Amino acid sequence: MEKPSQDRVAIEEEPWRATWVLAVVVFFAALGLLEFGWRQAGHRASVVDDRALWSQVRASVYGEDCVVALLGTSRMQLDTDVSALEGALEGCRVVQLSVSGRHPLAALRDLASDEAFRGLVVVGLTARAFLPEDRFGQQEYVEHFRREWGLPERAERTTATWVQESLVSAQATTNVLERLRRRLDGQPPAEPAHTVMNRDRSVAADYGRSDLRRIRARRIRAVRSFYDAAPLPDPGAWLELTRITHPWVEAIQSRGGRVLFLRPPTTDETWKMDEIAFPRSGFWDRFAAETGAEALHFRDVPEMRDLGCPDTSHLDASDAPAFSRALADQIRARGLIEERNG
Amino acid sequence: MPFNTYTFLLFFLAVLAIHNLPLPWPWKKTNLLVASYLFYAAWNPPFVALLVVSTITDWYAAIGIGRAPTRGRKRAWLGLSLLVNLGLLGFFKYGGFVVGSFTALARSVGLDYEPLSPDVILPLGISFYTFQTLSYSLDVYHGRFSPWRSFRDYALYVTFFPQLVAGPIVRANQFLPQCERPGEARFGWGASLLLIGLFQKIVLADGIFAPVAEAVYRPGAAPSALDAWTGTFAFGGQIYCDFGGYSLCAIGAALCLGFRLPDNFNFPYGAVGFSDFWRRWHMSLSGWLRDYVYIPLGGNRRGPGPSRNNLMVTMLVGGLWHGASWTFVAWGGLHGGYLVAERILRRGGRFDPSTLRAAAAFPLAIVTFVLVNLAWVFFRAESFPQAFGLVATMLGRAPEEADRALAPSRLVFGLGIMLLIFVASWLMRNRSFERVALSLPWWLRSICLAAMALAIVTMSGDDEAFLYFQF
Repeated sequence: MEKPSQDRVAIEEEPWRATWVLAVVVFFAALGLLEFGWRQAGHRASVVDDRALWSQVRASVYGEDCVVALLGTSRMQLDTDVSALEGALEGCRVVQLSVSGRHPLAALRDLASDEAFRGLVVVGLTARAFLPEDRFGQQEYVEHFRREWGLPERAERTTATWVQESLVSAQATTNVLERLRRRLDGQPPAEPAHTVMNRDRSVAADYGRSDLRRIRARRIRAVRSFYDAAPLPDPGAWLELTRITHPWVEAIQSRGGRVLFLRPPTTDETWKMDEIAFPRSGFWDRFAAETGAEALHFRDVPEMRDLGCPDTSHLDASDAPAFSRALADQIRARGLIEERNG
Repeated sequence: MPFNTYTFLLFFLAVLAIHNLPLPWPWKKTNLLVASYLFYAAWNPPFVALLVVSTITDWYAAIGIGRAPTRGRKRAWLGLSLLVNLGLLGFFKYGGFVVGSFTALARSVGLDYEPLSPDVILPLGISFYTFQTLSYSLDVYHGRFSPWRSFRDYALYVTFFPQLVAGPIVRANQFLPQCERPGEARFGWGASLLLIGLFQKIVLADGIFAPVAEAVYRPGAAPSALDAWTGTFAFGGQIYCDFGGYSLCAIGAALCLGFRLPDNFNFPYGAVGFSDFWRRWHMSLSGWLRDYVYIPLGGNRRGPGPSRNNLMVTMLVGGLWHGASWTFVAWGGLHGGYLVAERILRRGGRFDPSTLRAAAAFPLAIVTFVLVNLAWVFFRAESFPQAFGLVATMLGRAPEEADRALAPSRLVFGLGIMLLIFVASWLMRNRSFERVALSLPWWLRSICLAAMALAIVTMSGDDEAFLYFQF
């Protein structure tokens, strides 16, 4: 190799030890100040969900005598408290596989095709989950697990999780570039998130920390715009759509697993809009009657029905343990755990 | 295992720890070789076999060339090397492209041809290590380098993990002599380069430029002229910071292990003219194309006309090297056209823009910068219709449905930061990166390093793979 340039030799021979020691001190001092500032402003560290984290949790559905896999959307994530559910279902491992904003049928199909899975699947869904447009919204998570999950990604995800649950400065709401972007675009700065995700993908929502009026209004607006835009099927056509799950239920139950379809709580305006679009008697009850799996509607369980959704669609973290205990009672009462273990 | 991952950080710390144990030098080289294979296997283990095939083929081909008593035998051994390397590259990288182009051609003349579409995965870094191993065989064939004595050293040359998947493309005479005895690890500067490279990649390329470019180049977008220019400049910034950042990481990581790799970028956006640009942009590739394509084609030895043809062919090959798509070929052709036009304007070398005074050269630098960025449209666009549509929009012929869609922040990020990069490149174009670093007092270097590390933690964009991994 040709001789390195004088500049290159000179910079390599600079006294770098002092430079790096000072750099490290300045970095940690600045990071510490930032962390302090963000925490004072109400920001909290939270694990960032992605396909790798889903895959890591998905990979843990094996090996225990009793595994309960929770499928669904953000409702299932926020409504169920994994620790409380595990406490109430002693000896069972609860695995949170719900994905915010994506309907769960792809994950159910995936578990059905997995011969090694023999646990209980609790599928939290509303009638919308069966509509053809986006019913397989979780498919890319499934494909990621099937094709890309392996040792290197496991190491990466484990380290990233540790960083994310340690540093508030690494959160999306505190991202300096993003805050600068919002300022330049005349938007208010991102508020501290009212949800925190844990490494097991359980999510706790603390609506007391949020601008509840704004969140609630946004939620109702989103639900209304969906129902305004979507052409909805009649009950018969919808029921036909739900039959796609029959072979999956059969596959899971034929090897000793069980499936429980759960209609999670919605309240106030959202519940009313849900009922207008998909009245329970014409939709859910007919589905429950022919599914072949267990079906549970939150309105049938007083402990669930009496819980309020601050944003009309999700429970607060303070209510999630009660909901989870009620869910555990239903699981036990229907013999979904005892039958298997017995 | 890209550099911008925690896994790489842990892997690199482990490799460094072993490398700094009081072990004999051959053991340390073995450690680096094993680490390099692990690094590659972390992406897709079966493709390690390709690396092994490429390594062994060129090792024996070079020995064969060195021992061959006749020119014909030498040619046969070289032919084997070319056949295996270009065969693998052709199959994995260009197989789909050839079939697709043939199908399109058949349909254009009315033939209803439906080929099988094999689902071939492009092995990571195949273009880089293929060119690297080929350069070894070619150098031995031309008598510029003797077959190396140690297979382990040679295997390490092919697989050395800092530059394995995205360069710089290192020549045998640049790397193998360094294997003879341990080089002094320059950890301070090496770690600095690693950090600067990560800053370029994570903050500038992914955080600032990528979202702007993606907003303009997403399918179905109908940007206004201002948005199209902004998105294109943003892509110019993204690819520079992405690839330049990778190269700095590679050079820095190698330096921490005691190996010097050649520079790959030297303030390319401060270039005055396109010859100057290609002396500053992806220097290891442009040097490779010069030595192994342009000069063997005849270079400029046969007069202006043939030399222009050779230049154009070389740039078309360079375009195709970047990707199996006609848009990459068009990008290479555009640069070939720029270079030919520049040669004509330079009147056979009697006019050299690099000798101009700054005030006279600056407008030429602006023209170079704008035209280089205009060419990126073909590099970035998914198809010719999209590329031609964007170019038309940029030249003032926006479609009726075009809309100013970019928010003010995108304009600031896309245009403002890129303008800063242009001005900084212009001001520093006659200085090396090391000279710029040397001009800073040590404590200011500390603050810069701390600020970049802090920015990486607090400003990271979406986690994107390095762009050049796809090549």
